[in-house]
Amino acid sequence: MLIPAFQLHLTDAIQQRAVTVGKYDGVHPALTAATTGGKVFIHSPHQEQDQPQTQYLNINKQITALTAGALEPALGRDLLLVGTPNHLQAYDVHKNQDFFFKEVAEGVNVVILGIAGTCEAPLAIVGCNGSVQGFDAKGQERFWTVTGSNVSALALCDADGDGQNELLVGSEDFSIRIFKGENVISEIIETDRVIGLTPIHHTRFGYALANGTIGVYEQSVRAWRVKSKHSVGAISSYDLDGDGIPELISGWSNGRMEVRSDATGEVIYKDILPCSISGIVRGDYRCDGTDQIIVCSTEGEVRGYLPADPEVSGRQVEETAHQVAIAELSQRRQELLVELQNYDAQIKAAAGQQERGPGLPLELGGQIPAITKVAVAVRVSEEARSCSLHVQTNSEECVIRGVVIFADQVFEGESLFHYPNSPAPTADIPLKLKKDVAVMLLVKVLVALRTSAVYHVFEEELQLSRYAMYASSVRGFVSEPESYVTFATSERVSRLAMWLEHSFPDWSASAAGVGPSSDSLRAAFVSLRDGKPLIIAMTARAGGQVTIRTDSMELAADLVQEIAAYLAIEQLDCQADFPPELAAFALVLDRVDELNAARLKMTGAVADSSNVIKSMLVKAEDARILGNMPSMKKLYGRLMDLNRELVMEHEKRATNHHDLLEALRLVNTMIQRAARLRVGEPKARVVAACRQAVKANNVQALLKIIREGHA
Amino acid sequence: MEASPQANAVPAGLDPVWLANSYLTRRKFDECITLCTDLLRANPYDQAVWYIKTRALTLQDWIDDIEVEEEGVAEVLLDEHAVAKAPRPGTSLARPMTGAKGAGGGPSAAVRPMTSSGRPLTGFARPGTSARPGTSARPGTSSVEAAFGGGRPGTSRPVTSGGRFVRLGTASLNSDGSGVFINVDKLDLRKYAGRPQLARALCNYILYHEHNPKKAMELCAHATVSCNYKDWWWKAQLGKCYYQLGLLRDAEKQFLSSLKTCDIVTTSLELAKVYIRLDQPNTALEVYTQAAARHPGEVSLLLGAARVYDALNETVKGVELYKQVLQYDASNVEAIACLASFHFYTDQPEIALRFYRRLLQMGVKNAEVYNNLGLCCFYASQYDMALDCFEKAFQLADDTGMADVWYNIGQIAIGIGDLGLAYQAFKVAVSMDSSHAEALTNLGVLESRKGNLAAARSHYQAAQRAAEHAYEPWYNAALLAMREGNLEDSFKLVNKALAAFPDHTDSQELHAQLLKQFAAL
Repeated sequence: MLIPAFQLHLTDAIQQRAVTVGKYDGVHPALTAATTGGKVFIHSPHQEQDQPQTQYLNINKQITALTAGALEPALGRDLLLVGTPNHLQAYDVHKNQDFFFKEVAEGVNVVILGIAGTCEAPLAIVGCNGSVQGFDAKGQERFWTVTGSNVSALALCDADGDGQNELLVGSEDFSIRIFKGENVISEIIETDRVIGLTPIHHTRFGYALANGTIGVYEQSVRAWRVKSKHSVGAISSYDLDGDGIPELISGWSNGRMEVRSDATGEVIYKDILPCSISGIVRGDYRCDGTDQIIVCSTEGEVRGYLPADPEVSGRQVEETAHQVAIAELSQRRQELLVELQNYDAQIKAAAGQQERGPGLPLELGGQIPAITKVAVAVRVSEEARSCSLHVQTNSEECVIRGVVIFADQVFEGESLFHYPNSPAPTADIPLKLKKDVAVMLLVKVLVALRTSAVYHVFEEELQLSRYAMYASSVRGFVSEPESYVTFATSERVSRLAMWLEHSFPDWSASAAGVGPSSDSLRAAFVSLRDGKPLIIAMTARAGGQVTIRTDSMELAADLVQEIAAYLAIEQLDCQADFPPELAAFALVLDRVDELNAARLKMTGAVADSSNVIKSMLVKAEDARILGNMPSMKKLYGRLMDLNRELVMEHEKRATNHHDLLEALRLVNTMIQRAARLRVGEPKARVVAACRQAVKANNVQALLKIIREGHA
Repeated sequence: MEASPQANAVPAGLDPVWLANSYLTRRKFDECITLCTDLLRANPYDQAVWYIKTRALTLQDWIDDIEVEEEGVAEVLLDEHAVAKAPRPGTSLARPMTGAKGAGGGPSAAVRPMTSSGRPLTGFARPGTSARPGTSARPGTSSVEAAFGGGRPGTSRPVTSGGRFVRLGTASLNSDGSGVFINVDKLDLRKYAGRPQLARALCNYILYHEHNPKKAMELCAHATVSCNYKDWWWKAQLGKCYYQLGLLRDAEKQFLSSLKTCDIVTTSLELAKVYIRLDQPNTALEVYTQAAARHPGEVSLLLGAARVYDALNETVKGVELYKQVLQYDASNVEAIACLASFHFYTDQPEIALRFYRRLLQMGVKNAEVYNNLGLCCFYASQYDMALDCFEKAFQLADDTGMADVWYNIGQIAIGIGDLGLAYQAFKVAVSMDSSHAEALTNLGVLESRKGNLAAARSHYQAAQRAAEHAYEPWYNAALLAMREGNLEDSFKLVNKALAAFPDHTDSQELHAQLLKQFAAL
């Protein structure tokens, strides 16, 4: 149990993940959090005598993100950054003055402040719906890139160990992308929406998912993770046990606060708050020179924890190491005991059988023959339009009672249990993969004799290729899609063939008649999801021209990235045309214009009627003061009507805003796909050019950039 | 301006459109409008005439809205624009610097009277500057009743700021019989947006004649699009529309963008106004100073900054700027008046006298100036001149100013020791203006000297009701209660006095004394 160093009960509710500590006067830290009604409260215990400890800021909009920091180092004090559904405000609390007030049409989901990559000045990095933007102290846009989905978490961490901070972007499409500048250097797919990211130590960072999972990555390899039935309120990191290495600190919806070792995920300390935790921040809140970790709950309870004394904690660590060893050994002993018991029971049963009649075949208490093996394979069939996991035992007596498959990302809840109605030696488990991912399937097959109640578990591992959901169309007469992307490589055809074999389980070079010296290749596939064709072709002309024909731009982008990675191509530009998708995209752009115009009009109308309401309210109050009740009643009646109208109008605006966000997200997704059709410098160029075209509202240029890679 | 019936008769050989234009340039709007109406009746599609009539109608109702800054009751009561509710003193218009700590360096409230918002009176009555009441800084002022009152006792404020975008006395009388000239709701704004000249005239018409910022905003939006977001004027107009609609953040964005396209002084002024409404005086000051650096010698920017300093109670900084203004424009009435009052309250009546004389030279000739002159003369020991000045003030004063003149007579009477005259003068002042808090307070003091304690108390109470922000009636009443031995009342009252003026030494002493008494009890 961890004992809090201080404990405060603030009267205001604290919004989830909108807590920060800032030194607004440059010296004294103040706890800042978003509370109800679009307000921010600042609790500063180190104020001068005659100042109130808590002051409130009216934002008058839903607050989506909050952070504080030295955006302008020359200023010598922290600024408060407040994100709302369409603005980012940088506010100087000390001077009661806006630093900038920037419109962010895509909506601010999360905001952090810091130095990313080679930038010399700190940026306010904003995660929006479909994009990440960076603003400097003047509110100028310094950084812009697309992420393909709504950003839900951001962190700065030196994830590749080169001494510079990379930007970690967690998004609602379950992925954590690591950006170096505007390029994605690594992408990790997780199992749910990423709701929290925090740098821990060097290349280590922690993450939290919406399904209650927290864990730690070392570079882009997962070190550990744990899952809870509660949802994560906030994560942070701090060296609480005094060993010089920060731990991962997590706060949960049931009020639990846990400190877990960054290396093993083992709980070091814990504490329980009476209600769910909304934020964890660190700051020198007692002004004594050391940082504390400050845990805030939704009801406004604040607890601060001090790092443990290094001497005391050193002994503790030693003790815990002993304890861990003992716990491990006793666990192992328990397992062995259970196993021994099993064997005893079996031998007893066998002995009993022998007594009854030696003529019967020796059946060791339902034990299957020792030679039993289980074969697991992925089968893709074009005719059946299915991709399935085929499991077979090598004997007729041994039947499959059940199959458990564990795999990240593929199934909901990460696992699938298949239970055949009539146990047979073979089982086909249809795999309905929603996403194209290469995963390791851990298959556990429960095998038993037909009559036996004792199951044997066979564990098999199977690498599932990324494009398992595409069946090779051997006959090759799929209709050619009119959309295509084509690019030049300086590689031989056989290299591509190797890649195809590696990525498509249903394709082999020999079946397609491609040899090491072939100078052309054409592989046709059919998607098992929707029956859409996919053709990958390569000719040796111009040093190896690869053409991918598919109607799905996303698939094409994925393939281009894969091929480039496999062939180690660093710069790749391409020609592309996706007439159906681009036509749909043009419609989206029109819709953005339309929605913007409608929004402008509605904003005016609402402002107008709110002015009317204001004056009517004043008149009504006037009537009250004068004691003119009939007139007051009439005015308040009208006020209520107007109010109802305004509420309706607000609903319209909300719908409009929602549609606009969705449309903008689509625009960003399209830009991202266009960028992902390229690799290296052309990719960054496309993103930048698209941004320019979007800013200038130049639809034609935008479409041209998507097709040709430049305006 | 009388509309002569001959105006309709166009002299032979004269082009009626030319004549209409001539009327317009000579600011004979009524004639111009009648002539244009006739012409349009004959040919409704004559664009030139339509344009002239639109201009004439607009100019008739034109107000300089940069100078109009009075907020309505609704804005005061339901203001949600200010970010900080209780910012540090000196960073917000709602919490000006107070007391001795209030640095500013100006005279304290003991010398210089305060307005209800806790700032010293400036020397120049302008709309808005002294009007914004503290939101909750002062007890009681956040109530609806208090919001209805204006900056000075006995005045009131309009319901909404929209009400002040009308030129007094003209708009209401202006209904011409011919019905509505332009039915704004039926216009195809997109079509007009394509014709820059007509659109500009139309935009001003909608804003100043129709007072329909919502419609004007649509027109501006179309027009900015049609000129590819390149035209500063349209952006500034769009900002103005947003400002009038109360969408301050959008207004800010438009003004900033307009300034980026073309650096215009009025746009800077309007931008600063936005920040003042947002209660971010420091940002407003930055806008003023930066613009002033880009436009040296531009008096309106300096004045704007000086007004903000005044509102923040940083008088000395404001005075610096007023002096600069006078270097550029030696006949700026506002700067002269403010400097004069500053010098008067910093105990330099002789210098103040010179400024007021300058005002007289400028042609400002009203009761207030003579009033001030009289006071200056008196404190500069020029007694003969003082009385002459007050006589002049009496000649010029109307009902509203008369009470002040009598009050000042009373002040002088106290100064020369003629308490009888003073008593009578204050009585007259109160009879003119029953909520003249200063006169009431002084009457109270005189009554208590005479021993009429009940009368004194009732005078104090009247003064307290009339001007909750002034500390004198509270303190005097507290003193009275103390003398009567009513310690508890006295304590309450002295607390009120200290709330109004925390650094008032006498009140502090009384407070300490009372605490001692309580301890003894």
